[in-house]
Amino acid sequence: MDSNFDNQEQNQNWQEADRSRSEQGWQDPNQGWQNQNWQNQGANPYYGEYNGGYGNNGYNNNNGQPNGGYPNGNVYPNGGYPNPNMPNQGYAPNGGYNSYTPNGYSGPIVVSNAVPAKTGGPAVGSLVCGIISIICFWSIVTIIAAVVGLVLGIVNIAQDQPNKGLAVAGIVTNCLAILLTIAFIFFLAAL
Amino acid sequence: MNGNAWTVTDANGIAHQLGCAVKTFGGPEITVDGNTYKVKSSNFLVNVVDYSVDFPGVNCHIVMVGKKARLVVNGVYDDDKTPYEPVASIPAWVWVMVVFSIIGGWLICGLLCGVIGIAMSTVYITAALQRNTKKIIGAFVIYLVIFAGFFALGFWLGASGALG
Repeated sequence: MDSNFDNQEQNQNWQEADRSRSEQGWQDPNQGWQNQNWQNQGANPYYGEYNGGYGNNGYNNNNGQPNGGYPNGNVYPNGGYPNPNMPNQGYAPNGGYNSYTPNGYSGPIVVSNAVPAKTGGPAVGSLVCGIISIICFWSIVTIIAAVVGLVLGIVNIAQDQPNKGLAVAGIVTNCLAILLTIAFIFFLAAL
Repeated sequence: MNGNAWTVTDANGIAHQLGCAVKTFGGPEITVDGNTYKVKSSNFLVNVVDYSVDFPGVNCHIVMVGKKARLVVNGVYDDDKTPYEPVASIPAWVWVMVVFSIIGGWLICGLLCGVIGIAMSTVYITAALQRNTKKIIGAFVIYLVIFAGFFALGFWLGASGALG
């Protein structure tokens, strides 16, 4: 079990990536024709923060001409307002300045790991080591596995990780395996 | 590279493309609207991925066990409409079986038994996600029979001197 994976850090990275993607969405070819063709044209009232939009009554502050709010002075069709005949002009269906993002989403997309970082992996490892050590008690090499399992079980309890029951079971089985192996060595020596 | 792709429509009627794939040398990846996210398996022995993707008004999960991926939309699996069970809710004893089947099988009975253990582990995990305890136990018993067969074979070969 991988307990080192940092969920929070990963989530932050993805949220930053998502935010960055949203900011760059004007050039994103996946966003459809509307952003490519109407880029910086002020055709959408929800682009108000870029071109004044409704906020300055359609006048460009630079040249004072009633150009429908286009900062470059060019006159575009439809007076700077969204064309009702053009579907999906890149603003959220529920409208409003606050809900708009360049991608057309009304909220951020969050991708996150649904598995918690702390899963009690050492306890599982401890019990597995204990079982393997018991099965192969006649092999002296398994003492190493038993000692590793014992350490893992103690670490799990010391770090207050989940699956304490498994950790206790791991400690018990590993102790049993060590005793069995020592008994077997004495048995062989007595023969 | 194996891949799966789905289309999810959020509460605003916007269609999103979801996909996931397991690269041979790159691990699992999730793709959301063309953006690829590298994801990490929650188990170091078997590829087990459970990632949440939140769209406005729609919560999705991509659950991957081995190379098989399934999509969950608002708590229901998209393919067979069964309720979603998070990977985090898999009991710890199932993970003990998984680790034992792979590591134990490999160390005690050899590589082939370890490979069989990997295949059986995906069965345990899939059954655990379906809350099918009988299937988990049944699969583990089958594995133990295979394990015992390999163990007995190795013991017999060692005792008879066939291995030199």
